[in-house]
Amino acid sequence: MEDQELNLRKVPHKRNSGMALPMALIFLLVGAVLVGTALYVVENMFSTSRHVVTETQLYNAAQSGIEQAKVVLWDARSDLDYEEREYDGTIDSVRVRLDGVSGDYLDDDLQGVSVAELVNVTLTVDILDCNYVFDGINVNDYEDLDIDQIAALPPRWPAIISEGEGTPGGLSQIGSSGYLDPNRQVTSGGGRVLRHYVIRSRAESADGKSSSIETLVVIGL
Amino acid sequence: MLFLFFIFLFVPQKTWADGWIVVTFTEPYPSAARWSYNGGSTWLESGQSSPAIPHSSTYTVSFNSVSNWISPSSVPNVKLKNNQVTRIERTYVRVGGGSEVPEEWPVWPQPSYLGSQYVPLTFTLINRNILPWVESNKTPSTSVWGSILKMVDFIYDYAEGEETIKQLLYPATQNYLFSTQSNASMSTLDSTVGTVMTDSRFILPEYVENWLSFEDPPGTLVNVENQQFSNAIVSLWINSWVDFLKSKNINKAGMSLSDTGHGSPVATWPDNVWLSPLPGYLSYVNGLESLYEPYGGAIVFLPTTDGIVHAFDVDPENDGYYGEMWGAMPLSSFLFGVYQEMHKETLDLALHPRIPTLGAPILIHDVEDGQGGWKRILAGATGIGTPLAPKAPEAWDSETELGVRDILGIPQSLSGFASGVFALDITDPRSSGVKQRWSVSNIDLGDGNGFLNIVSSATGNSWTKISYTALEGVSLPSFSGYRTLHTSLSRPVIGYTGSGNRTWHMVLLGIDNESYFRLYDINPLTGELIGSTQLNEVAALGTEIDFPSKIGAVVPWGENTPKLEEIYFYLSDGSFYSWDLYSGTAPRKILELEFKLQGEYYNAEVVQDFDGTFFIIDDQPHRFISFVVRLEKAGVGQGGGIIYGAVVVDVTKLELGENLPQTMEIGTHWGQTNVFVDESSAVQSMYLAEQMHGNEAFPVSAPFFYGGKLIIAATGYQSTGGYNGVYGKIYVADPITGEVQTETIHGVSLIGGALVDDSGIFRVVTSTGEILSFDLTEYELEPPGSGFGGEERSEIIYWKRNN
Repeated sequence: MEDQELNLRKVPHKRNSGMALPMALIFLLVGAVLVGTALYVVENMFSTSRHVVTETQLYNAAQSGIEQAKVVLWDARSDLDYEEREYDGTIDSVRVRLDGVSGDYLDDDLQGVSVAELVNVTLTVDILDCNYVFDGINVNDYEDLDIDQIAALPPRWPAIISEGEGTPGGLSQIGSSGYLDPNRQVTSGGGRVLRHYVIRSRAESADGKSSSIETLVVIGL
Repeated sequence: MLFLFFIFLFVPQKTWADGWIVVTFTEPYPSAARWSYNGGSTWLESGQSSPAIPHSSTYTVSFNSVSNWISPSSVPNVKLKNNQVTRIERTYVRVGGGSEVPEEWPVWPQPSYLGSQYVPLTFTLINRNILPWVESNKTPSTSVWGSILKMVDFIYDYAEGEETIKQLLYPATQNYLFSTQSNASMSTLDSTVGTVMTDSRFILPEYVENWLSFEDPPGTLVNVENQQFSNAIVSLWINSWVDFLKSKNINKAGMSLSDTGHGSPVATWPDNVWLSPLPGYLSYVNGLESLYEPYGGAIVFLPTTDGIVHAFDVDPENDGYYGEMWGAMPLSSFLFGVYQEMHKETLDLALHPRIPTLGAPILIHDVEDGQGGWKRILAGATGIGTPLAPKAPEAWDSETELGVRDILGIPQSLSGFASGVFALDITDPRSSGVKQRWSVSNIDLGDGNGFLNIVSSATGNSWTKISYTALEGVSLPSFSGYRTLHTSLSRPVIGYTGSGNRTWHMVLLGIDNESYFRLYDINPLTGELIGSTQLNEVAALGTEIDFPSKIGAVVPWGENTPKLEEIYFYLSDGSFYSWDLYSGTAPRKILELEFKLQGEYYNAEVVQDFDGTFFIIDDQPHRFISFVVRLEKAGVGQGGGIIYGAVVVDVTKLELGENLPQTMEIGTHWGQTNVFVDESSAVQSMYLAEQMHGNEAFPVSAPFFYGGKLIIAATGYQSTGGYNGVYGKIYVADPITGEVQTETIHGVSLIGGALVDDSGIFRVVTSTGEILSFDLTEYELEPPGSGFGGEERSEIIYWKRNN
């Protein structure tokens, strides 16, 4: 304990002189550097913030395209061409269309449309059918495609029957009546035909910025 | 089992007969009329049975001669079936003593009272709320049979004391329709139809104004037409016929409607789950809903043998009474229906005879009519058909009030049959909207003579009568195949083929004029024949009258629309076929069932519609088909009598085997009830009885798969186990494990028709008009519509941002 008390004893001050001006100059220099840095950071942050807002608008526009396409797809679900499509190397060959209407596509009205309250932003939405095969003429395998074509292809997903718990039915396959009678409606637990579609939505501004969203939707009919 | 064993062991073995022939003469016939199956060595009376005779031979049935009567023509090549009664009906025709025989002696449709032992009507509705059923009286032997329709709505919340079972609001509708055109509004069936009957296309075989001329008194020439269809004469009795059809104070065995033959009531709602995925169907159904709403949301259709297709509402006022919206008589029935009145008038009958012109079940189905368009078709057929025989000579006496028959000679020996198929367009179910889509009748007068009566858009919507002779040329090739149609069996099947543009088909199982089973592939919109296929099996007409063969289609694996890849039909001789019409392959016999007992083989006839489903076995889908068979063994007791069994076939496993068809003996293991027994690795069977042999259970619902179980409702009479009396019973059987659960209710007898409502309650009807309910959830089965597949919906599988 005595050693500690000895260590706490006050050290005598030395006498300093002629250092005030240099110290003031140093503080001024450091302050100027700090202020400049702060101004740079603030300006940079302001610029970044302006850029984020534009991206958000494009993203929201693209998402609205997804929602619009889902509505269009759902409303037309009974009238779609459900036949297996044949991919010929062009994306149009797997684009969703109405039954019996070979030249018109379901997404025709969603190509390059303007977006409300967003000047100079255009929206393009593709609705693609996952139930396709290669046509065997222009395309036999993925090796016949370039990297961009492969990237643009939706996943292949043929129409399938859903399965559920309990009593499969209605459009049932397993364990319940499959007798083709309008009054056999077991309709519990699976059995719907599941059809898969890819929706791609791309919003693009006039200055070349863009946002693109893709979703895979399954419809059980 | 032990009981049966001792019975078989100690009772002296008897040589069981192979088959029998029973010939019935239509009234009136001479008391001396006899028939023979052995060239005259043995003569038998009407209704008398031949002794047991080997079924492996063929026989010629001949008839004796009776003075002043025309004997029926001999019936050659009569084939018998093992343990079957083959029934034949023929007519003796009374003639005068004159010598002049006018040509073109007309033929008339004849009354028929065969088939009074019909099986119960066959249908099971699932996830519907209205169960209609029919109660019948088939006992009159010389007048029309009767029926009444009743129905229950299981989702309506009845107040205490309120009538649950709905009855027909009497009197029935006055709005009955007919048409000689297609695709046009139908006309009112009233006294004005006499103008149609003078049309030469209507009369059999041909209208001749001065068919017979004679002097009476001498010096005064009298002309007699061959059929009394002039407006003046028709007006005398036409109202009586129309009143008969409309049930206005007309006795039909004390009931409001004529009998239904094999026709079941068909409850129809706007929707059809099997068609929902097809283009434009949901929009079409939306349109139908507004049309069905004023009638209570559904309509019940019922065919009756007098030729009327009835349409009833389902009691939208909920006052305990339903009403008749309209009745329509297709041309195939209209051509012959009037003879109900002609027989009564000319033969001075007290009541109308039974002349069945609409005896087969009807089918209501939607089909595509062009791109995105849909039509609702009601298709039906005459069923067993209408026998034809020369017009009775006394008919002329009655019509002319002269002794014409005394101067008539013996008419040419005409006999034949008439059969028909039709479709109504009921897309708009209002009486103003119903149309005759098409109708085809085959009038076979024997010896290669006859004609077809057609209305169809394929013939310009107009009425075409064309002779067999003309058919042999190039005219109407798409209809000429109907010339072979003799009898239509079961309910037709409607579905489609083609992967791009769908082609719709209506497949009818029938018997052709060579007595072979034949499949008729018909365009449901025009009636044109796409094709027909004769099978190798000869039909036993007598058996088919009571237990007609069945045809049905089930949805293929991975599909939920009526793609006709899997059509199945079961012939009453035990032959079971599958047919892929979609691929265009020929029907394939995969199984031949025989009932074996005490070393003897008997037919296994099908009763009720069958059903099909898939089970997953070793990770693979296996097609299972189930049906109920009737096995009749001669004698009473000693293992004899009529017994019933459910059969489940693993079609997938069966088709993996070689040497199809597989011949299968069933029943050899029977002796215990309430259990499935393996007949082979692919076929199981279950003996239907309460407790033991002697208490057989008679199936009253079409067997159906539900939640992995096979469910059947049955009824019978129990005389052992401390109970004597009727009982109703359901089977909930597991085809995979073989376990069978049952529930028996004593004191009730069930009739045909069943329903599973949306809460999973299985409803059947008792003979006293009560509803018996079995809660399927107590068998760990979920209510229909409660799971994933119940609603259309969409889901997101993935979402990603590309940049």
